[in-house]
Amino acid sequence: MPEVTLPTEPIGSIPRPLGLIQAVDRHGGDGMHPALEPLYEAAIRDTIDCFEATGSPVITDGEQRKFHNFWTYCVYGMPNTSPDGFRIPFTGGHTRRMPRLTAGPFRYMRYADQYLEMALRYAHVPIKQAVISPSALSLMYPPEGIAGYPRARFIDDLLREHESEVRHCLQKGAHKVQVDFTEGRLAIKIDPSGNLLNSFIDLNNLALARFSADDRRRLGVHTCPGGDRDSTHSADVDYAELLPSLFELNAGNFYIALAGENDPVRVLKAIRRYMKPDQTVFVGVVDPIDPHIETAEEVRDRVLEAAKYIPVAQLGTTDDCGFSPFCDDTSTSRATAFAKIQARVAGTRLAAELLGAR
Amino acid sequence: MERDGKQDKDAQEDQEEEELRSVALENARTILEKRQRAERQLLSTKNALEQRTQQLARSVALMQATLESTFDAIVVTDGNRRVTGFNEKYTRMWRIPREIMETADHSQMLAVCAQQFADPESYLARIEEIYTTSPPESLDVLWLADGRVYERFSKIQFVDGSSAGRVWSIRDITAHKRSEAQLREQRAWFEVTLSSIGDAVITTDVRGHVTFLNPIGEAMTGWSLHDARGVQLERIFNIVNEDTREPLANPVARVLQEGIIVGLANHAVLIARDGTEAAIEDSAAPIRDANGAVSGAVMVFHDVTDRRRAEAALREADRRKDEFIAVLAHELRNPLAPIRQAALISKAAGATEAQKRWSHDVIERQVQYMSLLLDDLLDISRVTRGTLALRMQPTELVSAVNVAIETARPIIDARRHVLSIDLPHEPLQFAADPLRVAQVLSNLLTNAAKYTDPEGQIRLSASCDADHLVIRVADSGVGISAENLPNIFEMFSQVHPTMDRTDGGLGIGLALAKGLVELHGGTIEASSPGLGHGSEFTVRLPRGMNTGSRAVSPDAAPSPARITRRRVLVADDNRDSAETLAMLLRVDGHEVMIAHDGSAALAAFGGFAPDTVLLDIGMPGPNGYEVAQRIRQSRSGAEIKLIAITGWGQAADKERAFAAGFDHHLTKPVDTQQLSDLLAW
Repeated sequence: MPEVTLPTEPIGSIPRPLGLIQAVDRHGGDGMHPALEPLYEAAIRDTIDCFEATGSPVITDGEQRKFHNFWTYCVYGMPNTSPDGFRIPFTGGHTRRMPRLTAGPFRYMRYADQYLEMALRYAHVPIKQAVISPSALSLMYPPEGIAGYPRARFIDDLLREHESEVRHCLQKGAHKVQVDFTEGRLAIKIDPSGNLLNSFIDLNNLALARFSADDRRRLGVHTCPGGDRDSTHSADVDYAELLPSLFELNAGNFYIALAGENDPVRVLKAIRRYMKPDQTVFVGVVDPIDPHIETAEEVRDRVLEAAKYIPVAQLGTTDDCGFSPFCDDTSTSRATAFAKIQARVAGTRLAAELLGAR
Repeated sequence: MERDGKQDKDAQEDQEEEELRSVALENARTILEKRQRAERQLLSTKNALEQRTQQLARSVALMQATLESTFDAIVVTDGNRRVTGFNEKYTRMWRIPREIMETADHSQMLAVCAQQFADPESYLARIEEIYTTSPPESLDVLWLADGRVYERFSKIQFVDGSSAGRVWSIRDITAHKRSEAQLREQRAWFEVTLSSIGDAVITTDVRGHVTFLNPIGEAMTGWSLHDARGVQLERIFNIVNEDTREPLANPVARVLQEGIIVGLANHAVLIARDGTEAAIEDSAAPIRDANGAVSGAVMVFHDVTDRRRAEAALREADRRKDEFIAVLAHELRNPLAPIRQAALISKAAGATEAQKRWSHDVIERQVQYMSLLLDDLLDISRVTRGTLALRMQPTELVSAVNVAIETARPIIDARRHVLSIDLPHEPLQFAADPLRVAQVLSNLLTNAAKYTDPEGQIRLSASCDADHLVIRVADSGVGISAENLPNIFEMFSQVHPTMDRTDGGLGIGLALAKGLVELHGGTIEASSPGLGHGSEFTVRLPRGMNTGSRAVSPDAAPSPARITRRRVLVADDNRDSAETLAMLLRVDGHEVMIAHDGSAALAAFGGFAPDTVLLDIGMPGPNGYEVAQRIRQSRSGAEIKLIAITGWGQAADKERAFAAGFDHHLTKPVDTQQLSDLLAW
């Protein structure tokens, strides 16, 4: 009986320990305060321990150190920015505001490989690292432009910084580097013509083109409706409008939220139609927004359904999204997150056994 | 106010949303431009890559075509012993199956190759050594079990300064090795041939340096091949003119310069390394390569010292022969003068009986002298050609000595020499031909008398032991120089070849004496203290019958008891000879008829009916042999006594005469006593 192994990976973020969140508040919301270092390290170690306890074959550091969020961590504290950039409204009624670039040159303040480095000290299983997409950061450039720093130069700087971050993560041994592309569906929302989405695809492909085929097999793209505090920013955008363009990205892996979709079969059909032979699709089988902790059987069933449309050799499982993309998100507990993760792992294994038996 | 605040907020949100859209679209344009630029670059890169790929493909194809067109089998391996390239010649040369080649595994290919060797392990061990020690280059000659010979060269491939593997090239040199072996065999054959021939051979290269010297050449030059190889020829081939001693030019130099065959100048003498000299003759010729260009020279020479010596001896002998003939002519002419004069006196009308008798005595004496000369000549001829037969019989020494003294007495007395004889008291008998022994001793006594000043001393002594008789004849004469002593017994050798000698002689007496002594199985030696100190001749004769002499001559006839009157036909075209012979026969009381040719002889035979016929051989018409045959064939010819009388006295002449039917053969001048004896019985 041939053995089937389905890969299963997290998206990345895990809710921070309350003590850490409170400590940040005590320091005026300055998540980079040096006094927080021990707390960050403890949080990372605990997160890794809990991750490994779930049986996950691939883990993350839970993005414990990413302040303030998955999107702006690399530019937080950048001197040539102002906090009054564009707003991202969420269905829950809240908004998140992006920083605005005020002057050139555009340079990251920090790179995600520093998070990877610390995690590798404690992990016993492969570590995956999430980075923000260049398309997301491209919205930092102000509409009025910046004197002496044209948009084209900004885009060049942006691509270079992104490439540097990804390459360092690969070189330091990340199992996978995942590019968070939650702005995909948002792009359609902003520009229903699809031109913006196409430009985002082009920009990300310009970045991906800088890597070899071997490297790109270790690169992945995550897309979701954008979860934060149990709400999204673009779940109302049809996946069908995104997926055709999404699979034009020259990455080897795609992490696609599916558990929270109303019509996952429709999405699976679209995935099957547009995915390419050299791409692996990790479908979301647990929903971080849903407070219900999925059972292994539920996960199993979701996997089996996905397997009807996606070739098993190209199929993997994941979480629909990170459990706490924004550091201050306490809508989901750490325990719930790890329980869902454990269900994902177990359910994927059950599905694999059944798929192998066929 | 609350509604205004909400409207303001909505307007602001709309504005922000519009700005976001604007930024996004602006970004999109920028990104599009970048993408288009990137695509153009990608296209350009792609085109360049395609061109490079095409160029690379062409280069690879050219390289492969080069590999395929090379004469050698080529295989290229990397550091992991994987084959990264090869040409078809490699697979064919080693007969490696296609499926093995497709594995790209050098070890598998080597296993196939190894099976073609008598010792596969050694072959593989050498490959392993090359892989392990990784020399910059390697060169091996491979001898396959089926006789093929390959030459294998390998070299490390360097790309950008670092090793990228190794290139192995293999060349089939079987034909080359075969040619080498044939060349070696040919060279060995040539060297053996050159070493075996009787002449000296030296070869040089185009610069005149010695490349080969055969054993004869080594012996003649005094240089070994080992020492001479590479040396300039002039050093080992030192030649001078034998007369002037001036150095002679090296013939090889001219050969190399002009490419012609050159013979050495005459009278060349080679001076060997140790100074010894040899007269040589030689020639040199160019050695040419396959293109006809001169690539060296070969010189052949040989020692002609002996030949030159022999030529000198021949010239000397010829000179002596010429001198002898002159002497002979002189000696023969001498008695003719008194014979002619005596004949004139005898015929003269006023000649007295005493004068006529004196004339007859002169003629008889001179004829006797001429007969002796001719007898000696005939004898030496017979001795030289081995046709003289000895009549061996027990011989008393005294008798032979007495006969010898009697013969030599006239000249001894004429020169008033004192002759002393010293013989053993007891009779001494030995096996010999008494006449020939007497002839030897008379020759020695005559010589002693001739070459001793008047009133000299001559002594004849004899002694013996159990096996030999030793006779010595010593004189106090002119002696013999040490220079002439070795040649004293040679024909035509005269110690004093001067024309003012009064005693004449042909100078063949000693040669005749030596020949007769040696026929007896003995030896004769001459010794002399030197010129003016006399000479001594010592004859040793074996006492027993151990000669190689042949049977007694059938010419011998018993002495008749009385004269019987005969009817004799004399046939000779020499009228004087015929008439004088007839006169002598008539004086003896015989009835004689004369004929002067063969036809007249036959006619006279029929009419005269003789009982004895004396025939000359060389007559006109039927010669003596034919006449004898026809007489024998006639009805009355069986009982006739036929005697040949001729100047031809060789054994073959006698055999022919007997075969023609003659009973006897006498040589001119006829011994009248012998003839009388034959007619008497």
